[in-house]
Amino acid sequence: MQLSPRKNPASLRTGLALAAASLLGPRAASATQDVEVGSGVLVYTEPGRVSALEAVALVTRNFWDKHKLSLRVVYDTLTGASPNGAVASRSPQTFTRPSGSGSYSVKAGETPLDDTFKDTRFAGSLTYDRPFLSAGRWNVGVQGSGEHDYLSIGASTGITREFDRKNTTLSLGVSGSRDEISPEGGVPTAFAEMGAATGRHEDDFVRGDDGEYDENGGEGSNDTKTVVDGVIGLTQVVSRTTLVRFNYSISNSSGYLNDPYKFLSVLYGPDDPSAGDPVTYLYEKRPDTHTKHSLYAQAKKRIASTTLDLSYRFLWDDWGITSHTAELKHRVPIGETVYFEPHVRLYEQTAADFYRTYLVSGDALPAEASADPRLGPMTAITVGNRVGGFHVGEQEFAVALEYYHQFLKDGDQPAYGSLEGLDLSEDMGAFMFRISHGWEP
Amino acid sequence: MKRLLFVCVAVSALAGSTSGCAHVGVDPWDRDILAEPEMSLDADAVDLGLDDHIYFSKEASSGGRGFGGGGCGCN
Repeated sequence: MQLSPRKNPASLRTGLALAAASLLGPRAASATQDVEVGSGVLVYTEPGRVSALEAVALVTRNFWDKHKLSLRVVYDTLTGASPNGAVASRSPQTFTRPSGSGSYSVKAGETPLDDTFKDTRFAGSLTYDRPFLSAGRWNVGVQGSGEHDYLSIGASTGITREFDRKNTTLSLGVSGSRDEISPEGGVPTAFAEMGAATGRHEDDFVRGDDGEYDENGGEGSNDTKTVVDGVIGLTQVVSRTTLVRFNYSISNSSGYLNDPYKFLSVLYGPDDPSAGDPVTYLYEKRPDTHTKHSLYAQAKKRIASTTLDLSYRFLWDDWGITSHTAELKHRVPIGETVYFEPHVRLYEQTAADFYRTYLVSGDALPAEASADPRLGPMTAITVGNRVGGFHVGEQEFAVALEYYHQFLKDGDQPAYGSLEGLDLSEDMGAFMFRISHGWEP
Repeated sequence: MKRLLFVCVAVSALAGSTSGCAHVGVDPWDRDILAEPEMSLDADAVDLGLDDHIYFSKEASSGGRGFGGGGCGCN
């Protein structure tokens, strides 16, 4: 190894120490402690809707020669109301609860929210990461997640290989999971009619011309889906202050991909005297396969004493959705260890081909349809700030407060009849508060 | 080949360099800044994981930096 002639003896020693540490590569530079512990708590709240609390702990044990074992444990609990997919109406609306017992009502003019959500989830993963051949690493992991109506078990593996003085890293990873969905009240038949009363039209439900509508719970108590992901990536050290990463990812899901708790409103047609009023509600139906692709680019750059983290993701899938995500974090030190880190995230997505705000009574049923606002057109922004670098002994703490706002756009379908003047795509806002902690005993 | 050229140009532009790909990268003794924890591409992994779960639950897109996430019937 040749040393740069511009180094003086003092910086030479520092340089050698840093060089030794950095031979692990930039991402492994801090992996010198026997044990590393990280944890965090997130409080998420959408005023008037869902609230969630999520806690995560991450423990990494370094052993032998650069072998690592990482355990991640997650607990989260969620309660509150979530849009059920139906559109607002001039009249109060009543919906059957997912369990089939009881009902909930929504006031006239309000976006229908299902207020029954209350769930607790435990998740965990274990990953073993070790040197592989001369300049590579290999990892293998298992993960599982369980809640009362959802169970997921999966495994992953990946390899990395370094080139050119460890300036270039190629990585390849695959993961697969098998999920079991056991909705309350059983798995609803796609496009089955919910036994709902609308107030004005309680006895006036209309079934499809083909007569195929079932009552709820027509397909048994559970169903499954399989997810296979692959990622190929390139990380490149560009200069002493700049690092970039490019990833291509593909994800394929197959099986039961519906949301069992989402409905579509079926409305009286434009020529009906009750145009725009709800006739009934149908369970949604999505395709049973889904393939997503994404390109991701990220750059880290030191500018003076600050650190810039810039990323962009372009995603497209075979459901007709494309999305752009741009994110900027800027860490600015304000003391010896304390820093501010303002954060801005911009997101935009187009609607899935089968996204419908509503269905019209008498029209032929489409092959698939969903009114889940998460599949509709939207833009979203997150703004926030993270303050970190607080040390208490060997512990380091950071807190972050962020605000997330979804601007839901109207779909292609016009508001007509009694729908005119109603907000069919109500925006959503959420506050996020995080505390995170790191410890290297 | 065009994609490779694009990556080369993008990397060079980010480095503020006009001398091309031949000078991309550093020697081991020039990694002092890159070795700092905040320069890790996956710095603050706990926060990243919490954020990913939120956006996975609220948007049609997920993944990119790593696997697409999942394993929950998030509402």
